[in-house]
Amino acid sequence: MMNENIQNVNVSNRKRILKKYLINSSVVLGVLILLSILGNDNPSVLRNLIILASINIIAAVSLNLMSGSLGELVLGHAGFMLTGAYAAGIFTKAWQVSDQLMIRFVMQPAGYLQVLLAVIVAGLVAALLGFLISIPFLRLKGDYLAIVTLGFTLIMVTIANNMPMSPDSGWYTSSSQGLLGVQNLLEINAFMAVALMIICVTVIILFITSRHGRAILAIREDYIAAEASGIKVSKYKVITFVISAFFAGVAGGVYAFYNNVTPTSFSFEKSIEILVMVVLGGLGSYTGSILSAFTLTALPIMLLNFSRYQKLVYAVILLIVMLVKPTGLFGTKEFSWKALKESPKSFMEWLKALPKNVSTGFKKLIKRIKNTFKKRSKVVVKGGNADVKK
Amino acid sequence: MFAQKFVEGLVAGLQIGSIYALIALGYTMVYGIVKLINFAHGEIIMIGAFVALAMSNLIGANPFTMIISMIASSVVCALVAILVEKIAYKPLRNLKRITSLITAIAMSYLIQNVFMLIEENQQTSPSFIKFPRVNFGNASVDLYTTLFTVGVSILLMVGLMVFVKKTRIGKSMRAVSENMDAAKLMGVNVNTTISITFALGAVLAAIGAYFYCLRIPFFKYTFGSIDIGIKPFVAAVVGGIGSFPGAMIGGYVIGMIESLIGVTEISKWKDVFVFGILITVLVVKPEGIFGKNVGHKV
Amino acid sequence: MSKNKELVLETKDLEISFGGLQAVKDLNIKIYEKELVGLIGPNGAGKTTVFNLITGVYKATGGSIYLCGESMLNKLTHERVGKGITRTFQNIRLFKNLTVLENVKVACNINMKYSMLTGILRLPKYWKEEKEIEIKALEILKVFGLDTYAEYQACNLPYGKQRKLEIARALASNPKLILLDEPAAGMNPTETQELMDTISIIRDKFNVTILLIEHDMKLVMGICERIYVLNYGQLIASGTPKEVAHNEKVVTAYLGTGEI
Repeated sequence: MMNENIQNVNVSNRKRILKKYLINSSVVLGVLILLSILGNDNPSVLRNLIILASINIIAAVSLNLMSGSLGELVLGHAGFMLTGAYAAGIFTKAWQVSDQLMIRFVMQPAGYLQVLLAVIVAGLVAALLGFLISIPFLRLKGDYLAIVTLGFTLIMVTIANNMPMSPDSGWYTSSSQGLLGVQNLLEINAFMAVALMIICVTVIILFITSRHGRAILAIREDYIAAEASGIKVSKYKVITFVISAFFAGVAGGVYAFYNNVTPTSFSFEKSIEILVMVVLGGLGSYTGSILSAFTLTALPIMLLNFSRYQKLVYAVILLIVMLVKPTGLFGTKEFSWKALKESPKSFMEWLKALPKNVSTGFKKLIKRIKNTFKKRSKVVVKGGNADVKK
Repeated sequence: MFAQKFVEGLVAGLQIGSIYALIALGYTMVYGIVKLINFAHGEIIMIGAFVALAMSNLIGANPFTMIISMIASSVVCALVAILVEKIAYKPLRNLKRITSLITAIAMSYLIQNVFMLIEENQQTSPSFIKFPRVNFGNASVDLYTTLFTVGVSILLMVGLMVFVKKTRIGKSMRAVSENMDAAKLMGVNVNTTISITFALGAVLAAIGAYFYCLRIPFFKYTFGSIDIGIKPFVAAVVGGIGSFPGAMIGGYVIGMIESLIGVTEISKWKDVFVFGILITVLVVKPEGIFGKNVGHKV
Repeated sequence: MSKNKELVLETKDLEISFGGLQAVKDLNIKIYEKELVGLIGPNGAGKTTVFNLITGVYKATGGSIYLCGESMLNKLTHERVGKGITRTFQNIRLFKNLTVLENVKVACNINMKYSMLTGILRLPKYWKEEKEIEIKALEILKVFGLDTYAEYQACNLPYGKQRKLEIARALASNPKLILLDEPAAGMNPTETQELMDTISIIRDKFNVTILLIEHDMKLVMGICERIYVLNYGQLIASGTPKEVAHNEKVVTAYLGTGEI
């Protein structure tokens, strides 16, 4: 059903482009209005779902930028979210105390502005931190980068755990209890969360469809060839890392206005949660990240007795996806209107081929199970491009 | 006062260092042979502790049952490790590295949460073996525990080195880690070799877990990740992942540093120190202390 | 031979050693504007190493290298691309999951100027430059007969076309010097002939100087104006194809000294 790569901007036809932008914008606006109305009552399950989903979508899309588009597995996303959450919270608390303002609800324009400001500060702090660590970190490849970003997350959690206690110290945190009650000062509503999410996702997608995005995809495909084609790989890696960190910080910042932030809110487990969303949707597909982030946020909320098994199911899903379709549900494909129009036709074709596909899939699975316990495996001697196995 | 703390830290460091060294060897062996960071190794440790405590509750605590417990623990862990390899790692051997990495993480998470459902709370075994403490002046140290741990650990490590160097299976392990395809063509049964490697690593981890229980006999499902899984991993990486001497020395280094800082005022920052060392080493010399820098041709 | 033509590439005593192994030594070559020069030698002679030295993948341990008189010695690979040196690879290195068109567009990046902010805000400059490179990329593809494949994923092209795409990509940044590493590898005689024609065309159409590594002697002797011969990392001969073919040292290097 989906068959267009994200880079395909048909620049030669101006009117069509304008029409496309108009359609996309109106759909997005429609989504915004719909979700804002749905999430209006507070407290409500729907409201929590929409806000939490927005946060996770921002996190997933920014991780997809780094791990999907650039192709570098990082486990430090939660560390940046934690940084952003604390930054937003401390910033807001400091402002509140100094200005003696007590704005309770975000409904007032000043409240919206305050949240926006705090969230931007959160992103900038996270981005700065990202920039500082990118310089040593990004020289490392593959496994080492994953390890070192894992270490980063753990260090951030330890630092948060040991942060000074009382308000007198100026940090407004209370150690392992975390940053409490920011949402009591200033509570975000569904509209703001969705609006922020839309802005973040749009910015990232506009970025990845520009020439810089193209460079990043090239680096993922083959960084040696990219360098030989004139792309300064190190610069783009840093840029991607910093942007990814920025939006992770934003996601964390939004969270601060939703719920209590403790040092364990954003630890290694959170990194995994977001990673699952990105991988399930397809590393490289933004459509996939958005849909799977929404689904995986909704699932545990909608199945209430699920929560005990939630993490287990996460792990099982991840494992199954990796074993059966490592490229994720969407692979690297994106949504496109053209594909949607053609979909009835291709849907019929897909339906006709279904029985055959299912039986082939089953045969493959059985073969694989047999293979697992076989003593000897086939010798596959690869030539050519076997030397650099990414 | 300082001397007392130092002695306590030193002895504890030797003990925990041995444990870290044993577990780090497991990480390094697996990475050496399939170039995969076995995130599920931490969970093997957890299972080892689980079995050790369960056995202790079952058959009591004396030198005889200790041997049985260790063997039981090793067998269970080895089986789990082999199973994990066959289900989750083997099918993806030829795919992109990032896929295997994610699968390893998924596997680790899976096992952890299975045990969370089994035993949500911390478990202890009051009847677990406890060696008597010894006093050096004001310092009270677990001397016998440490001696026992260090002694057995060194025996095991030496045994492993001899095994890898002298036996045919050991040679197969080295061959496969150098070049899997060539080893296959030379008649080495790669699958069996890999399974044995995983099993050996698991056995060392199980014994390491047992030693940990000698100190503090407790179990929690997070045992493999937070409490003990991550530090030996840091040790393996710092020492040079893929290198046997690296894992052993790395284990003692990290263990000593953690212990010695743990007895000072800044003890709550000891984790930051450990991870800080990890990051420093990776940034300065990514291959680790004993690792080899392998470039590639264009 | 080179009547007042501009010196595009010059290396002086260029050398590199890995550990104790001297891979390339005393490399002195001169390549003039719009020349088509071949670099040949037995396997393992160090030809690709020379390419890596010229493009900056390897850092030379001695000697110097000049592009149009400018020293390239401390410049990184992408900087050298900016100055005008591009290459293809012995084992094809395309951006497999990108389309054919995107592969070429990526190489245009170095000459594009709009900033990230411009890209995100889609200011006029974005549209202008994107349109320009779309046209340019398609033009380049047309020369190679690949324009109809523009939306294909690069990995789905047949082998011969993939090789051509790599060359097309290398031309997208308006280079002065293009290094082709075994462009005819794996090709049958028909494809090889087609390639020979293509190389001659691009030399004229794109105003580039070409240095190529090849084992296919028909191609080398067919289109190269001059040839350098490398063995064990050192130049053992240079000259026109005829001169080189009859050079004793060259024959020995390839065939050995045994009596026939």
